[in-house]
Amino acid sequence: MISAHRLSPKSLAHKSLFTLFALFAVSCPVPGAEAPGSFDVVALVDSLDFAKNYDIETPTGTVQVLEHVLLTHPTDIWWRDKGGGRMRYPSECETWPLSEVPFDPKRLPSEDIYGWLRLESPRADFWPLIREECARRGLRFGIHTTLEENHWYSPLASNWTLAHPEFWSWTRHGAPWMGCCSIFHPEVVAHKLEMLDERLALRPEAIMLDFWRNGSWSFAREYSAPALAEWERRHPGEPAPVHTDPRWQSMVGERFADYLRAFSAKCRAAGVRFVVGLPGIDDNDDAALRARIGDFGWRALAREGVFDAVFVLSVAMDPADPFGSTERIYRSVRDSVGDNADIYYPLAAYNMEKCGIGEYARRAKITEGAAAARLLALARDCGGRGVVLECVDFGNYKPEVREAIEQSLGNY
Amino acid sequence: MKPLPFVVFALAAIVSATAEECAITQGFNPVYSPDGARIAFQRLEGGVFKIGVVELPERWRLASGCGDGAPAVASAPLSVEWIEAGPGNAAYPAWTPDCALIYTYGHDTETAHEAWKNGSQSGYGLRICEPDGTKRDLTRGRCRDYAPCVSPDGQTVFFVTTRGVESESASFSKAAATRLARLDLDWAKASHRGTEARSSGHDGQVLDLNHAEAQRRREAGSFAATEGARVDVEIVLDAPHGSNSGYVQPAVSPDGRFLVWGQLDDFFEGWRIYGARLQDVATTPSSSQSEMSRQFAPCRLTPASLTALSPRWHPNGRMICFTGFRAGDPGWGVWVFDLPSGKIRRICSGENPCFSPDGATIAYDCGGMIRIRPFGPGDEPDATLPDIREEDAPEAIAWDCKIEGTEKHLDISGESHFAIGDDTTMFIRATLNPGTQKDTRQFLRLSYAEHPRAIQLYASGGDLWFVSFDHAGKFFAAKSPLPRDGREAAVIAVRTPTRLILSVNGAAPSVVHTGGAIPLDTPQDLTAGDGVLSLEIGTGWPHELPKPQPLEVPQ
Repeated sequence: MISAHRLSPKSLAHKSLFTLFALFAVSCPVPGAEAPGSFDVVALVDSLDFAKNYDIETPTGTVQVLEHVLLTHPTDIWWRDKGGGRMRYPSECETWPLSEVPFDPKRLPSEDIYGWLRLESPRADFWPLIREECARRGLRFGIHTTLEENHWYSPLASNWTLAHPEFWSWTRHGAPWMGCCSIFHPEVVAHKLEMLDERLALRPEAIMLDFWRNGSWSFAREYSAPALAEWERRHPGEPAPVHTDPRWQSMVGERFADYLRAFSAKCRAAGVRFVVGLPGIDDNDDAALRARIGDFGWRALAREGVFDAVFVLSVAMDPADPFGSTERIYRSVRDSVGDNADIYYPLAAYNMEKCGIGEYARRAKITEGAAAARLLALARDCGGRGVVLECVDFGNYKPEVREAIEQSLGNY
Repeated sequence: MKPLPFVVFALAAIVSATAEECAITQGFNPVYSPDGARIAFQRLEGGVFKIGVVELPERWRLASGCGDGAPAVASAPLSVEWIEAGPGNAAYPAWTPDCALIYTYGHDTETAHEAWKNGSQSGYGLRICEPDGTKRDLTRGRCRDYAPCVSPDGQTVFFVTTRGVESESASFSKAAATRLARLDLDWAKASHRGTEARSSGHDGQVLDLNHAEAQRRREAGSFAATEGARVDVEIVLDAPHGSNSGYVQPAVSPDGRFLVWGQLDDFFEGWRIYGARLQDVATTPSSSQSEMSRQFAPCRLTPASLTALSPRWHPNGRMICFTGFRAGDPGWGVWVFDLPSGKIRRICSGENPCFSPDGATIAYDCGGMIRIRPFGPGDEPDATLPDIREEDAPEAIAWDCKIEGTEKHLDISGESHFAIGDDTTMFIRATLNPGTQKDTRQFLRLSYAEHPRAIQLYASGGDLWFVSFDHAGKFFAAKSPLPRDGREAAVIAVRTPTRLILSVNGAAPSVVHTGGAIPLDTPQDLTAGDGVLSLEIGTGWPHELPKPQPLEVPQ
């Protein structure tokens, strides 16, 4: 097949210099940060989810999606930039129509409407439109991007990943996998940062890296040759341990933290806020997040100032004490992050990780409107800069919840 | 028929490589014409996939590859004859014996929403371009028919298709699969006699037939061109494991006896090459996966440690070349595999290889260029990769864990012979008292440090379930009905590196393809429920089940 974009040694060197320069910018204040006192409602929008409701490959359909999302009274619109490895803008790194199934035989096709979308084709480049429509309505505009490229789904595998099996992820048992690549290869990190450049060129106010949508990448898939070489250097003669071994977690965590610092530096250098979206947060050791990704010390990175904001996407709520346990988690996050980053707490229509609005309502035996109001109040009381609606799909936020959001904004 | 003029472009696309290989032109997916004089290929240009043909200079058609050891610098650029150059995309060219080209073509001008609302028939179908330039659509529909190959007698086109692959869930992430299909080329061409490609606006109908219906029509003589503008597509293999599994790039052996193809058993797996006797494929019922599995088990040819797809045959009929990747390789490579000996070799970097008709050269693509290299004695397969084909599994050897009577718990921690590697076939031979209740009840659980419920046998809803996991933690289960009259159930359950097989009281086994079994290195405990009357567990292939038959490719 056609090789995906390759990085020349020269460009790699250039990027390394750029990254070093950009790292100095990490501690600089971010332009465009709002004055304290406001309360934000961030709507995460995956336009693909509206494919059966509107013609999202047209400007009209795109605006219709935006207008539907506005029913939830957002102050910020964060638009999804990719589905797995398929971009939703014309990308130099992931060229169309190579990403169109069936042209790369390594992908399998999907026949429902989603498998026929071409949101990365030149005719579907709606980012300027979305940005302008947001500006016209006084909404802040951000990009919601995902940690990994495959979405557990062959049609969405990345062109670049399919073209480079030498960088694929490996399990400890030695099974290579075309779903994602190992960050221990410098070329992989360089590619990810090159992709970031493309998104920064779309001129968002912020970009959020979503750790819930990890495409099955985790520290358990980092047993690549350079990772094993690094392990051997640190622990000569000792076989690589299971991924839950604290020493493995530490080694991979360090590398992953470096990637996040580089990501942050690039965003800061471009004047774009860097946000992480974290699922499975609790008030102890974030066990769910560690199981999903690994231990990369996000609280320490937050204190270090790597993130401009933290979106708590879900919490490990205690069903016996839903709001009390949630408050303890929120305060734990606040204590960890301090003033080093803004915090947004979840107001989720979906019940991923069993902490959706409906779950609170069921546990507390109150209406969903009342549950939403309590979560909004809790977010404010625990120092939240706002809430994040993860994510707004067609009609998934009930009228009573939307009303609670509107009242909350009015009451503030 | 009105000949459709080819557009000819002259491209300065010749660059030198080494004395032994040469670059022909930009593009990929090269295929030699039957006479070896031309190569068809596809190219991505201007945002469109096009199909072109280059005529090879005489010196490149020979066994010496690029000729006399001299650098392959053309004195003049090769002309490219464009077969399809837009609008629309064309890919996966395949020659017929009489030098027509069959390929995938689609020109979808609708948005996905428009097509969905309008019930569009615009997708990717098969198109034929005859030697005189006449084009006809062989298939069409809101589906993807692609990666065709033509049988040596020119009668049948095998290809992969999404026809009939239904969304299994409202979630879009659940429905990605292909099936293997065939098309009788004479009938397909005849059914379009007098009609040109879809630009002429014909409304040929495509029927998707299962094997039984195809057979019935064939026997009734109605499977012919008399049905007007209709093409009958016969599905010969369902997706091997439902969603996120499928086939790509079938290839028929030169003697017409075997079919090989690339297969993905799950997204968490890699592509492997499978094969079967064409006779078996052609007579396999395909109305349901379980029915198919009971009758027919394709033979996996490449091991789990090697990602492999895009096979094509050597003219000697005993060797294939393919695209492959193994740990430590610098990237995708051109591999050759001698089927009778099991020997294998990576000969160079590249993808999509194709032997010339005389077997003396290989065309492939690398870095966006079509290349040719000689295939000589130094390229003969010489290495044996770890092979975990089921037909090679040893005879069954039971572990020392016989259990009789009431519930029993065995501590098997430290019992290294209970370890089950990912290349090991293990079996369970048990007699169960299924009882009459339909409630869930556990008969057997094997716990390992790698998974606390690594292997289970339990009853639920009147069925016996044999359950395990792949190395990504994904759940797999084979199920078979339990006797409902109180009779005992004699159970044979087998976990191979790629399948779960379950048979109750000698019935045709239920088979599930797992893609890759979780390696179980650290045994912990074994629990048998009170319905277990006798139990044997061990490694190897139990004599009660027939082993899959290997491809008996002649030496």
